[in-house]
Amino acid sequence: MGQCLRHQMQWEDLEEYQALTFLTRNEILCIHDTFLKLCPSGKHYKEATLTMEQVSSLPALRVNPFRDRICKVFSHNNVFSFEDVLGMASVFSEQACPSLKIEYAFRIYDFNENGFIDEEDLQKIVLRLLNSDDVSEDLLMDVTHHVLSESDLDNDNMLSFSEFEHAMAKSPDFMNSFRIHFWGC
Amino acid sequence: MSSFHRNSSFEGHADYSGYSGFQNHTQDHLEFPGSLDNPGFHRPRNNPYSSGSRTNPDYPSSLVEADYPGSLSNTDHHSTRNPSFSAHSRTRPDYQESFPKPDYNDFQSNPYRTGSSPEPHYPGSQHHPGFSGVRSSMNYAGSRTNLGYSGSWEEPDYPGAQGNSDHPGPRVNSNLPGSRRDVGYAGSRINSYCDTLEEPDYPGAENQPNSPRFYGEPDYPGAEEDHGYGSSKLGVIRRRNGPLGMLRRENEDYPEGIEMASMAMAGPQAHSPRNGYVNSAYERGSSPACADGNLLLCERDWYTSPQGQKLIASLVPMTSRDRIKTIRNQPRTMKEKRELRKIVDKEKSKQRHGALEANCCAQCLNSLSLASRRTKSNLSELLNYVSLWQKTFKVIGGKFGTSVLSYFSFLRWLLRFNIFSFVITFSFVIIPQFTVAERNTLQFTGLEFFTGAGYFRDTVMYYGFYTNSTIRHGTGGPSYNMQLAYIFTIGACLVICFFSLLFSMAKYFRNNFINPHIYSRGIAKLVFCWDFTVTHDKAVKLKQKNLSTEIRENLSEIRQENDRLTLHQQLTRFSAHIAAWLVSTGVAAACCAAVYYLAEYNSEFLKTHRNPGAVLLLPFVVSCINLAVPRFYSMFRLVERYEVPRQEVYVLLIRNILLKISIVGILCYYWLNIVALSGEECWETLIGQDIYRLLLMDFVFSLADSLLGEFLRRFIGMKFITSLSLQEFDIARNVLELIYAQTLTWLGIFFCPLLPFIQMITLFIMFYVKNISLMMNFQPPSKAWRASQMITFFIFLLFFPSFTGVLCTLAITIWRLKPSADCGPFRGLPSFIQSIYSWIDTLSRRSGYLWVVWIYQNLIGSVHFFFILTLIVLIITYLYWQITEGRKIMIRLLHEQIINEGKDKMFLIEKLTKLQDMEKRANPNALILERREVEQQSPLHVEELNAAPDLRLRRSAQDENLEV
Repeated sequence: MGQCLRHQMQWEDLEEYQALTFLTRNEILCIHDTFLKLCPSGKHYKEATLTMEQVSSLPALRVNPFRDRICKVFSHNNVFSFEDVLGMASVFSEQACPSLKIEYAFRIYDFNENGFIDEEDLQKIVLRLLNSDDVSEDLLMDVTHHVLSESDLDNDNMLSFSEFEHAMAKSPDFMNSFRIHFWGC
Repeated sequence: MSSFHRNSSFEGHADYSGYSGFQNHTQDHLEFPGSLDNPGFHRPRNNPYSSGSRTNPDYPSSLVEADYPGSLSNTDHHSTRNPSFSAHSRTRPDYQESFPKPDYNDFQSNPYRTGSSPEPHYPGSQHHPGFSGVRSSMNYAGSRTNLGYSGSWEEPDYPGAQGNSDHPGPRVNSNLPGSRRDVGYAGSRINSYCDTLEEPDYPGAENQPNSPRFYGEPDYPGAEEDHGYGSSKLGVIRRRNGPLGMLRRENEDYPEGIEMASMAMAGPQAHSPRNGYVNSAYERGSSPACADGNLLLCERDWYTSPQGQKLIASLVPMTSRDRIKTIRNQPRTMKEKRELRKIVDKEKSKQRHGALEANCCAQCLNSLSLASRRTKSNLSELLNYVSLWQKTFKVIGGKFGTSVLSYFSFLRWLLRFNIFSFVITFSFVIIPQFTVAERNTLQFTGLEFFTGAGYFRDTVMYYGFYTNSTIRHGTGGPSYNMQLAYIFTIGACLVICFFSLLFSMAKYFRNNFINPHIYSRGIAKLVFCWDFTVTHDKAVKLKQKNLSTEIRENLSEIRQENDRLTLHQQLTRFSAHIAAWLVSTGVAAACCAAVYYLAEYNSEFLKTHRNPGAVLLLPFVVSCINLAVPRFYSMFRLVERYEVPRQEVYVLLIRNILLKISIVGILCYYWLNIVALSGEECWETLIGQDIYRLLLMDFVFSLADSLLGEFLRRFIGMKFITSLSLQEFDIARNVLELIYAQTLTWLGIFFCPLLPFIQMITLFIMFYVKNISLMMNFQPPSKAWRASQMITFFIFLLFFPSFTGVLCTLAITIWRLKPSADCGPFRGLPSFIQSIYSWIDTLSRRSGYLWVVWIYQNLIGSVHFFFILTLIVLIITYLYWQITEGRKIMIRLLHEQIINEGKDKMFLIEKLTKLQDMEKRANPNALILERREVEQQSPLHVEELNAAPDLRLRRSAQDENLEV
């Protein structure tokens, strides 16, 4: 695995990244290092891109049941530029504001990307959460039914963004758990 | 609003041009991975389409087969799309007649549609979107990139279609502003098709007039728009789209969303309808934040949209800090944020330019602020760097998740607290004392580390060592009154602790108890709150397993709730609870009595017995109680069987805290009533020593528990009784230990000012010990812990029984008790507070400090002032309480309203469906007629063709509804 040209990040760039993300300088530099380690050799880090596979094999995401969704949501054209990675880390950082986290969580959970978390999405989520083969149809139905009955305010059998936001804004645990601390150094 | 409609209606067009839209998205996707210079094309955002359109294939086919069997005869159109195409072209007549139908009006009356029909000669197109439009337009909007690919799909579908007279092709392009774009992209992608399209058709000339009109709307950044797309760049098109997305985002209000949703609902049973609403829904869902799909499109130019403009306008007047914060919170890519920032900065500088041109001062200020910002960021970096154990925290979070992490962050929080207290006492009390310290003549044996007595008695550690004199170095130098310094420093320490506790408690309460009653069960939380922090393979597996049991348990609980317990069961359970409470309080009382008599007896015993180690008996017994009784309590779980695990945890916590606090309480009673009044020489130091020993013994016990107990337990679990497996980290018990130790520290700070320092060290060591023990001996807790709520509860516990208890004890000490006569800073005074009184007296004799005296007499010392203050606070509290009550009612009403809104939509959809049903039944022949017409169509009919797709859309909507 080659490395990118080790271009030192400009102070201006760094400052800009700091301003535009919720990351600290160290975190940015750390992500930068991780990025350089993975990306194809001979390219400036700004032009280089990582594939989804590379990103989803990062220690932070390797075992995450939603890694493919995360990659999909944060990548562009199926590849990650350095800034995409930063954007992802920013959303998952501790300082990111709740509304931003909820927004991206919604996108991650919206498997079929139809703008709603519907039963299909919910079942997929539950299957991934439980990750066992013996999840019975009944259980799935039960869980989705209960989730919807808790959070679906307009009774359309799926969660719109506002409903999801409403439900998650009440859940401080979500804010705490929708975080990834460890980006490789 | 209106512009939005127009746009949307326009989009309707686009969509119909993308009439194949429904069917072909998927393919398009696959086939043209961004081959258009459309970077956004491939983004996940676009996928909505593909997913949405997954179901599509059904739809066209159903359309084709059911309604247009004859369409097959249309030889030149060979794809599925063709039928639909023919279908809609056919519908032309139908369209005219059906358009004034009532069902439309329903929708027109929607807020969303109002003002949407200003197009005189295109009413149909306008209405369409409204109707099927809800979906079609959305659909389009979602696919801003459509243009990009509305063109693109031509290819897959008509690979060999050159020979065909693909009217669809030309139409598509012409219709959309995309036609211009054609110029741009046609070259690459659709060459063949360009050739083959019948030229006359293609120009779609009559469309063009329309489209400008659509966008050329007033609130649209119209002029530049036109010009923009005259230039036929993709970007331009995107920009045009951007606004749409933006607008929608802004204008669309929630009900509308519901509407769409419910519209969708009408369909779920049918297999195909999905596609229709999927997209719209998608758009809706993403809209609140220029979501995914939007992102792509608006990527480059979204800020030229009204919405973007508004955002920019709102950003300009902000302070630079707020501005950056707001920009940072935009759910956009970095590039967009950067551009946004640039634009805002430009705007800002423009404004400033107008105001004070080339003002040197402003420049200076600018560079100054930049410099200060850099320093600040550097400083915060440094602070971050200093902040302890960052990396360890990451590892713990990765392996054990947030719940265990919360224990460690609580520990770190306490550590900071103690460091802070230590810094204050050290700098204001200990250092001055050092400067006048006498030689310590006592000998040091080493046992003093445990007993805290002996050598330590005459060090800065204890109260008794401090001087009551005024420290003055050199004649005429500043003097330092030790008495006042002592009482003020400790007081300030406690006050600051009080406020920081209060604020953090308030913060936690605000964040974590916003509306706990709404979601009683929290399965949604279980499902959506996957702990992303966990990055360890095994931990993830375990977590999944635990989550599975938890979900099952939760569901079974809900089921159980429905079947009520029999009277007998209820009675058994109730009596079990009563018994458990009786036993636990009995045990606690017995422990307290034992501690009290032991302490009393011990003091007698110590008088006669001179072995220095004997003083350790009391702390040893107390620590034993603290170690054993909680474990005994947790065995009650076998008898009590709480249905809700959380209830069990809370009950256990309450019992434990009751035990610990009552032990500390009884010890306080013993200290204040026996030790202090016993006439012992320097009783404050004795109390300080007692507390030191308790603290130390507690530390030793937890150390031993971690190092021996936990390792032993693992050893046994691994080697001998494998059924035990690994134990879980008991967060509650561990946190309670921390709270207990912290209580002792606060209590002792007056008698032993160095106690925060000792606690600091113990916490520091505890962190590493617990960390190692955790890594080696434990597995993550199986219950999904409501970590944040628990931490709130812990901080509350720390505040309420523990800190307030300490305050009471110290208040009694300071106001009531008589300081020992021969040692300590307050020697000779009738009470500790007397030092303050005499200070005020001296001050009142100096004219410069009369204001202090006044403040003291009128505010602090005055009963009336406090009476009035209390009254005011009570009134304010009452008012706030009333406001809260009002808000609660409001929330309930709004909830009901949302639900009713949903019902309304359902009702309307049903009605609409019924009407359409009727409409279709009324003229079943229309379709055939139409088709014939289509077949006769010549290039000259482009006009109608353009209108027709709208109809098609509408038709498709009808069909969907029919299927329902």
